[in-house]
Amino acid sequence: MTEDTRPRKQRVGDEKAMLLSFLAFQRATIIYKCEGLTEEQLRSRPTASELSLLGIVKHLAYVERQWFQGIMDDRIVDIPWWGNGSGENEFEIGPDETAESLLAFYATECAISDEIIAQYQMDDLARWFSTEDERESLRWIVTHMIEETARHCGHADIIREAIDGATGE
Amino acid sequence: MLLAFVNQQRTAVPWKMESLSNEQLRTPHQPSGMSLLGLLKHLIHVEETWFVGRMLGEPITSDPNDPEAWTPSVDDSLESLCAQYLAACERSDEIARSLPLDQFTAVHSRTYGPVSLQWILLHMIEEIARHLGHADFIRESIDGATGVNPTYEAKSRRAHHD
Repeated sequence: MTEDTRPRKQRVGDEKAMLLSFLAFQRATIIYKCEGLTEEQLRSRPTASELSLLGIVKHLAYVERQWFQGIMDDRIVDIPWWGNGSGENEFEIGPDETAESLLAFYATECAISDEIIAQYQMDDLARWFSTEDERESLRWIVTHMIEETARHCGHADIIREAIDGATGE
Repeated sequence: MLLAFVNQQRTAVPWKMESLSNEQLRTPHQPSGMSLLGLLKHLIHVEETWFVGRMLGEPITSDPNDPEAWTPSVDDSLESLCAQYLAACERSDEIARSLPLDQFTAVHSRTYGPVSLQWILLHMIEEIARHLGHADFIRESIDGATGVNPTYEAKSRRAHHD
């Protein structure tokens, strides 16, 4: 694997800064697991699962968009699995998509998430809500993104190890 | 709230191992060499290390970095390890509830240095979630079963039926 340049998790400081540093670390780990591989390797599905590294990147980009743009900030956005979405399987990589374009897509969605996070307090409730569900706080959403991204980092660990034997936290 | 997230992660761990034979639970998954029982054993050690060993500073018998900690012994079964895991999680829970979030570790991690209870809870979320990601793939390679956690799956089943 290439040199580890991921941001460090913050040990002190306020709650929001600490949570964001954990989220930043998980997002960077996804990118780290993709580094130094060919386009073909990044698209490959070397395990029993249908997931590829790029499939995870694309899925997580939409998950970021869903939680921060769609739910927290109530923007009208395209989410494949929503009722009015394209219905596309976001784990599938299209012929026009490349590692570069998908990593850029993920970076863009994460940057927009960060802008939205900066506009709210941790106790603020999501602006979008359905009548049957309770509204999530920004604190809940950020914590959920940490667990969701970490779970996919676990998937990425095994895919990466199956591709070239590289391991590492 | 953080503790609720940790507990949701913890609940998914034994759930990922349900309805498998002893042999399936012990088979090392290639290329990592990890087995589901080995992973469960590691997570018991992680709980003990962070909460009893580091937060309280009490002596513990396990070392999560010891390769042995990843290998189930002949006496280990899903039942015995699940009982140990639940007991370890309950103990961690008690410790977490008895201390303020800004309480720092009594014995510091060599890797991370002094950290607060809040940091440890966040770390437990990412640590268990990451290992659940490993468990997802091991389980899928054994019998094709997939799923996030029991609550999530029950919800999606209901949504599917509506």
